[in-house]
Amino acid sequence: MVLVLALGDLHIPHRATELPAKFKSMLVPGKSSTSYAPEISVSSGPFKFKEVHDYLKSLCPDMHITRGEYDEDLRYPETKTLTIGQFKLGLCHGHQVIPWGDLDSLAMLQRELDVDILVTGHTHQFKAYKHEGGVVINPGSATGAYSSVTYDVNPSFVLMDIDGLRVVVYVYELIDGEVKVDKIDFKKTATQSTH
Amino acid sequence: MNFLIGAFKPPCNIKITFVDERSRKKATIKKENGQTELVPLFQSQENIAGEISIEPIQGKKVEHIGVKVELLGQIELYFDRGNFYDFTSLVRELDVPGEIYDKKTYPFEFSTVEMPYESYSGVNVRLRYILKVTISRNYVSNIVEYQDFWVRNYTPLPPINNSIKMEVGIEDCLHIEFEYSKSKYHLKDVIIGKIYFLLVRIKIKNMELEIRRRESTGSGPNTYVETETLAKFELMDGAPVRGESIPIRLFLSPYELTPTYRNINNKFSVKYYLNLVLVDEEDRRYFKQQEITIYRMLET
Amino acid sequence: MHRSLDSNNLRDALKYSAQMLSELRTSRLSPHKYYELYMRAFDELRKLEMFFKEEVQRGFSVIDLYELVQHAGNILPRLYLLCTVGSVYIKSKEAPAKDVLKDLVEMCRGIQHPVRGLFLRSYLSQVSRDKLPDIGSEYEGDADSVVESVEFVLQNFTEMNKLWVRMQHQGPVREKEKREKERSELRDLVGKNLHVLSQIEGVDLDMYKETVLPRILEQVVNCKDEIAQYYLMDCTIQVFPDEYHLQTLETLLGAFPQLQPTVDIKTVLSRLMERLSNYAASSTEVLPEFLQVEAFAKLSNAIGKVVEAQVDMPVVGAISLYVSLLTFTLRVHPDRLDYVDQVLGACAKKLIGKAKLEDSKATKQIVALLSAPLEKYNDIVTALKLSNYPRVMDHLDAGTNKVMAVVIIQSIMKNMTCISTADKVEALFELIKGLIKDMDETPVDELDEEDFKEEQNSVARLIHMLHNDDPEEMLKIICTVRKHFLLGGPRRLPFTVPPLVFSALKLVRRLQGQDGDVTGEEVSVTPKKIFQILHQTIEALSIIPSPELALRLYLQCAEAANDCDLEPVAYEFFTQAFILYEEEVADSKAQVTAIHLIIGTLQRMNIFGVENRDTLTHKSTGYSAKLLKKPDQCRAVYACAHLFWVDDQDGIKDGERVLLCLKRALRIANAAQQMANVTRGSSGSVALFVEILNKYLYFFEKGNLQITSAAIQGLVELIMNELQSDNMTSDPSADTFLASTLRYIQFQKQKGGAMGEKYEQIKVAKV
Repeated sequence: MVLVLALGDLHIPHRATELPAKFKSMLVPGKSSTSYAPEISVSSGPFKFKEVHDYLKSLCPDMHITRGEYDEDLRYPETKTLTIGQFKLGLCHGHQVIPWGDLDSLAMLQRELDVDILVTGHTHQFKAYKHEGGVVINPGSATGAYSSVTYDVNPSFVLMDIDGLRVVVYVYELIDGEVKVDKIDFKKTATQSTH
Repeated sequence: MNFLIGAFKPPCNIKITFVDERSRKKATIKKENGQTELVPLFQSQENIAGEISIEPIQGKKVEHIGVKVELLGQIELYFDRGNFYDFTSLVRELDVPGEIYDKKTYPFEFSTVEMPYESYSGVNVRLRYILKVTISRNYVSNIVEYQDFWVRNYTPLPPINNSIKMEVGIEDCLHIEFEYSKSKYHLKDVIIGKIYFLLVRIKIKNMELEIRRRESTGSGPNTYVETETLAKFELMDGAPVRGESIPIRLFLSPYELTPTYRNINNKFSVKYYLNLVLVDEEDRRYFKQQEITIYRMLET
Repeated sequence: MHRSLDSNNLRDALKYSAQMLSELRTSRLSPHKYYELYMRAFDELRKLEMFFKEEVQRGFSVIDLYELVQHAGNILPRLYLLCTVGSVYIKSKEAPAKDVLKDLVEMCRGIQHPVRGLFLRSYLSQVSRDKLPDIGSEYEGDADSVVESVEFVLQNFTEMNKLWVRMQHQGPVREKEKREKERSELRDLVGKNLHVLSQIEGVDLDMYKETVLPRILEQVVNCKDEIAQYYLMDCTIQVFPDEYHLQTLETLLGAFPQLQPTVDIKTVLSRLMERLSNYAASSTEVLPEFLQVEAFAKLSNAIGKVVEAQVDMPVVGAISLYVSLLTFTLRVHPDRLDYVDQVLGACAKKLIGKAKLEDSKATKQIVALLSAPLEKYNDIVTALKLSNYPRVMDHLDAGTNKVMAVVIIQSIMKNMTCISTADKVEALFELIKGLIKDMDETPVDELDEEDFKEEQNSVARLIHMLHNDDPEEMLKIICTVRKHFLLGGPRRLPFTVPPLVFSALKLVRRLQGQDGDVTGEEVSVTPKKIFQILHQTIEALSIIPSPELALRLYLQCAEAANDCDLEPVAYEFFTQAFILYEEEVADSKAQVTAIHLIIGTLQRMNIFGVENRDTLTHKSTGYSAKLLKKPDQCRAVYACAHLFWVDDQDGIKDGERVLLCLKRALRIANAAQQMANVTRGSSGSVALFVEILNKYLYFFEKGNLQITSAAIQGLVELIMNELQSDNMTSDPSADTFLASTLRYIQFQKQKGGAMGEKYEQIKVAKV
């Protein structure tokens, strides 16, 4: 069982100061019943602020980042794939996929990357979309940053519990100061993407 | 002269006793050989009475041409040993010439005897009072017996007793002011005073107060002066700073003092001095001597 | 001595004890060793005291005994014996305790040697402690006896202190340091007296005020000795009750300016203030006392005088005094901001003419001074009310000034403090100006790049804490910030402009939401106005130049203007973005990203009239086709297809132009393929073709009739042919992509329904 933290579109410091304190208190190194210590974190999108980078790194040393539209840093790749257990994960911020946030276009990217789960962003709106090829997940903006695409952005992030052929996606969303959790189940048939 | 006489003991014992021998106060006298002796104590104007008993040795008789008792006040200067200056001499005839076969007792009395001087035993001089019994004889030497007694005279409280106050110093080095509360002290008195440091530029180690006795005898070119330090009393330990005042409290009772004697019968004087001594770290001594008068106060 | 004690021989006992005590006359021991000797003698003297007591019980007159011991010729043994008998004398109650004590303390003057005198008097203090006439004690005596007790202790204290101070002059100069150390070790002998005083019941506030304190201070001031003054002031503060200090503050404080300049006054004063603060904290009932005695005013005044009097006091000393005072103020009068400001003002005044501080210790103290209110109030807004705060801050060197500014920002962040008016923002920016613009004397090349980045990022984050729900005030805030930021120079603008832009955009969005509500009212803040400001702001960024960032921000604004139905504004922003793209964005990779952002944004715009839209789409497509690399061209061009097909109700659906774009993309892909043949002798990857195939499928599914199943079929076959050609370079990722695409087609065919039907005619080989 692997716990994967997916978050993105922090836009610190351009559009937000900090991760919400409630999120931070949930995410602490070392496991306990009320907090989570993901082993892997994936992140897409603007990621300028070193302090946050260091915080996440401390939370979870195995960190994967792709480039957002405001990242001038060429260190981060446009897309990235990684294999976790029996799942193949793809990362892409999404500003490159036009129309932005369009699921059919993202499905095309998913085919291109040949991944079971595509983690994407840019719209600052949480989405989890199951289709024949797998799942597309947009964890939203972890800081609830301003977006030209989405009004009234709520801070949100996603934890993926990958266990065998099953992945449970927990969505944490901060609505009016309260953290709401949603759960989405996704099973992969053994035949998929084996070739 | 008569060599036989010396070979014999005196043919009688003479004993001199005072009337109030038992009740009378005694003075402790240091004898020349260092031993102490208790002798009766008198003061001037007292009656000195008693009896003298003469008891011939068994089987002997004492033939005499008179028996007398004398009361003598003598001053003896040691450099002139053997010469006594009697300043008082009183005689009582006790018996007419005759023979004594058995013990015979003679009462005597000297009434209101003038004894202006106190008994004193100093370094170079002695002032003593004695009773001298003489059995005068023909052809053979007289039989003589002595009895010492001690005289102390009491002085009333001095009507004027000023304090001693003085500022002394060495220019730019040390200035002190000292004060002794009185200039006249009785023998059991306490010297109270203080020393006030006005300027201190030397490193003082300590300070002491000495009582010194100065005995001078003789006169003119034959004057002998003897000074003794009777007391060394540390007043201060360490170096004071300017403005410091150090108390003095010296009890006189532990010391063997006598009253001050001035020009006793033109033969001698005994004077007392307080000597304030400051010693610096190089053991240099700075001192100032002041005479004080000591008197005997009637003990109540 | 013991033998004579056992055999009750008084004379011998005196003789031998005097001999024993003569040991104490030595000058050869260090104070430490002397202390050991003293302790041994002390034990012996206890036995002797017992003996004297028994002797008195046996009928020996204690008065005689008191005289007898004074016959001793040596003063030191004499006085030890006298104190010992004195103790018995007091207990016997044959004379009033006060008289005996007075005599003893007076006689002890005879010991002027510092160490010996100190110990002797210490002995006196020790034997007399339980015999002081006091209220309720068995030695109480008449009304004045408490006064006499106090007099006794004070006198002994005074003399001991004089001796202690004199110690420094004993012995050679070169050993002074060692001697001073030894001297310090003896300080508690002196301090003990103060402790004794504090234990006397009869020392009530009045007596403390009238007698005790003035006398102590007189001695402290007059002794003119650094070590003694420091220790005794501190000791006084520590041993007497806080309440007394509070009630005698003026007297106590009055002594400070008279102390030697080298005395560490700041430590003593800080400890006093610390005690008083603790006292204030102990109970709310005591707070009125503080007000009543005007503690703050007195402390403040005293510190002012000390600072004034001690001209040579290093500036760090003065500042740390103000730090203490501030700590006191914050704890005792947290509600009195005016006091806090007063302290800062006093400190600033002290610093006038000192320019920047070079001394790192002083700097540290200033930072402490400035941090204290932040920590206390957890609210920078409070600190912003302190008019003297920036004045003090001005004295920090540039580096520390920045550190302090960062601390201020961190405080805001930590407490999520909202700065809600333009005035406060103005004040805040005054404080953090070290971060906002270049200070004159800072050489730019000395800046650490990482630090600089962190600082500027802090400033950027700060912007989100400046907020007011009232749009008018919010706009003022934005304008204030902008005014400051624009002075920041080319290095700062890339950091500071974006957050400002987004802050303004948020305001724009807020105004949109209010549109309905505020109709009819005269609205001074309009999106249009804000966009104007934004335009100028971003322009500043583009000049420096930071074209890529400016381009993105223009696009953000364009989109926001779109949402506000401001076509000309949106168009203007796009125009600016294009100008930048054309003239400033040179890097090919940057161009690729930029063009995608342009296309992505443009695709979402719905307010443009046909003409404007045509102009913009035309330009976008043109730029796409002119990218440096063929694959980039190809991808940008097929992305442009979306500009003509917006998949919503009112969206533009121009199937023909979509097809034109896709065909153009295909042509480019072909050209890329041929170029690969020429340059490498082998065909390039089929990846581009597969990508285009996917775009065909997309529009096919969306119902673009220009995209036919035949065309798709043709494209699939084309790809297959390419794959079979001999000189094909293998590209596993392309293969995978193709496979999943074909699998997708299969999936759609099998799906049935409308989609299945659509796909019916497409025949693909099974992979």
